[in-house]
Amino acid sequence: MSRRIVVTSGKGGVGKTSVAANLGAKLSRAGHRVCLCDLDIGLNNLDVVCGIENRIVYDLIDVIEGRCRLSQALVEVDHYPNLCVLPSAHLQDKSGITGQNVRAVTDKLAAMCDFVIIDCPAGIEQGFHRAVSAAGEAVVVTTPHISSVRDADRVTSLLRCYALAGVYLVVNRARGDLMMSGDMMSPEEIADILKLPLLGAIPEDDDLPLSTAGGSMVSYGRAPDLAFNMLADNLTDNTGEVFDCTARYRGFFGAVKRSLKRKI
Amino acid sequence: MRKKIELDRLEKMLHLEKAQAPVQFFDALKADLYAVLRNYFELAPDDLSLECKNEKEGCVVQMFCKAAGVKRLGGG
Ligand SMILES: Nc1ncnc2c1ncn2[C@@H]1O[C@H](COP(=O)(O)OP(=O)(O)O)[C@@H](O)[C@H]1O
Ligand SMILES: [Mg+2]
Repeated sequence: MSRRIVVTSGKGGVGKTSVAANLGAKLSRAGHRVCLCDLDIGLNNLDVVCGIENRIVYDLIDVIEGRCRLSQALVEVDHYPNLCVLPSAHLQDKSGITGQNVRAVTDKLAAMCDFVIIDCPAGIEQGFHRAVSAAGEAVVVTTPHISSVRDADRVTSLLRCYALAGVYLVVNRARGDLMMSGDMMSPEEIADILKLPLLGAIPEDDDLPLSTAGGSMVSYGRAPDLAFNMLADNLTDNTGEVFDCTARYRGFFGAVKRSLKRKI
Repeated sequence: MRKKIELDRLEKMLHLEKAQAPVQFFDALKADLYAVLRNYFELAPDDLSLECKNEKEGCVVQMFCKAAGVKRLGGG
């Protein structure tokens, strides 16, 4: 049975799109058929992150309004044979797009794929409702910063109103050096506060913005690459294993790395 | 330690918000309580009010009810 997962956060800029794209990429590499569905209508970025922005012919709105078939709107992502994107549009007036419209589209996608990953807009207004009502499960993304966690808590309360099969937490931009010095909350502590199961932790890493700016997923072998692998495994196999962001800052060389990081 | 300060602040903030924010939750609770109490007392919906305070040990819910009288049960 296919799984429909919305990636949401409340606060903008915490990494929803990056998490959705890279999680989708990892799932597809593991052999699953994955469709990334961009429901951040108006402020869509999933196309840029996946490097498909020049190949878009039709979008979600064309599908909803019957100007094309669903299969015509899907764009395959280079180097990922099982991964495609349903792009969204730069639309000003979104009032004609209802939760039901979107649900009908994700129903069709679910029949074609193993995973439908939905990129949700920031905020808790209509766009949020549209995205969540099209999903069966939710991943709440937060950074380890107090304002982001607070928004994640609000979103989590709202998600309880929807009949979702599961709500999980991903902590993005975790800094192992700050966690070691007691200056940043750990993913486990945040999960405890939000009372959500911790699905994954993604470290802060320059590689992530650099690779996604170039229209590709995180580079092979880098820390976020391993973290996204563990995230995907935990989602599919309930491994319970979460990337340890502090590992590289432990021991003698770790201490050197930490002190260097503080100086820059 | 910055983390400790952050954790404390966050815990207080979220606790407080839980108590204030879910207006619908209190409306639903009030409607349920009203349905039960009016079997026993002569009262209108406005005669019932709820208050929730966060104490260190947890959430204290107080109910104020000013009924016109006890309902006379049975036919007599
Ligand atoms: N783990 C990370 N480390 C460093 N930068 C990140 C990380 N995750 C996201 N970013 C950067 O943060 C910015 C916002 O991310 P994005 O995924 O667009 O957030 P959202 O979709 O929640 O608005 C982007 O520039 C992205 O490259
Ligand atoms: Mg986004």
